[in-house]
Amino acid sequence: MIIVLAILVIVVIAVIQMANGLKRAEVKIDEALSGIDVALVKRYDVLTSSLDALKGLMKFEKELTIETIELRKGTMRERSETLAKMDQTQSQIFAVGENYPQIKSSESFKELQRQIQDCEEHLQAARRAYNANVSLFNQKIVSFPSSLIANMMNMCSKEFFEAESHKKENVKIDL
Amino acid sequence: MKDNEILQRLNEKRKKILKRMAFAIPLIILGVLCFFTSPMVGAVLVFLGILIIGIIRYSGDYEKDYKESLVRSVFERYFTDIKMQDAGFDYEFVEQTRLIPCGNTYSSDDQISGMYHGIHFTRSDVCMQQVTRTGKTTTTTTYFSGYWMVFDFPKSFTSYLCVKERGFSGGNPGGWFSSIEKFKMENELFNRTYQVYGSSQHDAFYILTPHFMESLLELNEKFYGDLCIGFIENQIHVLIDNHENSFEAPLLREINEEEIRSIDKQVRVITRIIDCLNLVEK
Repeated sequence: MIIVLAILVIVVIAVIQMANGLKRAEVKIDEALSGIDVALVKRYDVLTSSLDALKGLMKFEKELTIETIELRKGTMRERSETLAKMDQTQSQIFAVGENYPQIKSSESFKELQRQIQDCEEHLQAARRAYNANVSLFNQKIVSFPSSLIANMMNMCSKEFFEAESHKKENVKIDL
Repeated sequence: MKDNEILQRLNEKRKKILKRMAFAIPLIILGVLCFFTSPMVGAVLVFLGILIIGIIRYSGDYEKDYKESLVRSVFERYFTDIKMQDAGFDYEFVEQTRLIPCGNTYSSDDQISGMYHGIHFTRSDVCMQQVTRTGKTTTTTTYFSGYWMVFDFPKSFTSYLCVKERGFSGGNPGGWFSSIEKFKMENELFNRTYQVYGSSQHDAFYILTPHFMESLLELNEKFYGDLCIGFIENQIHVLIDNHENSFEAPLLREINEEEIRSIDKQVRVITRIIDCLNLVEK
């Protein structure tokens, strides 16, 4: 009787631990997702202020027509689309520097480039952290015995944040 | 001054010391012989002999000259703004990094700092041990013995991050109840080689880019000894636990070109770390 009770207690503790582990993994994903959003907002701010600064620098040149970006962060797909748009804008800003050596050599443009680069690195870090957490969670919910607990808690696999495919596309620039 | 002149001068000083030491050796031999008839007298004579050798060894400027002329000349081949001092890192400085347990016995010497392509570095030999006495038994556990190097790291971050090679002493740098967590990176080989502890997962991924992780794996293959890398307040601390005490002037063997090559090898540890981790590029 005592042995059965002991086994039962051990099983209950194990189930609680696994459930807590799964919940913790889910919270980690949410934290990482908010990290992506913070990085996206930061990058959006830097890119829009860079565009304004660039327009100021090019007031004597022909009009700069870089499409303005819109910050959307609902689903992962919308985040990916926003990111793709931001990458395009970033490439356009850097291309302006390549086409206008006097702008490229200015200290303010160098500072803009540095800020954009730093935002890009932060975003990459947030994306990698999110995907690492998603990978860990997805592994947990398909491995036995935590898969049983995950089924009981109606947990399903999470979507990765894919952001590389659009980089293969060519970028069109209108100056 | 040319290397040959330095070598010649140092060898002359070394020979003088050896000649002086020769007077203490009969004292030690006599002490050992006396030990069988009168242990107290024997012990005193041996102790006196060793004391005299110690005084001769470390008096005079042989050690200082070795470091100030020979070691400095090798450093000057690679670095600028070189500063040397006998003392090493303060205990408080090392303790505050929380990279490894400091133990109750701490020593650090041979601090050298300089610049390499605009990157400032400081290095010292550090030894940290825990000496425990239980009755007549004394147990010494060495937590760390080797090179401790600090470099500029121009990436801006506020959190704490520590990357330890598996097998490096100490576990979680913050202890069980701290906010420092263990993270898994996406590189499986990296996870098998190193353990990552930090206070922010985002900063861990920000600093440890895929390329930087590859560089750390490369660094691990290059050096003998366990590695620990700490990222603290825009500085990178690289610890190599190799049980070596560098830049010690030899007494019994001649100082020659081989000695210069040996110093050069130790000095190039610094340049290899900076180059391998692309610290200049960053």
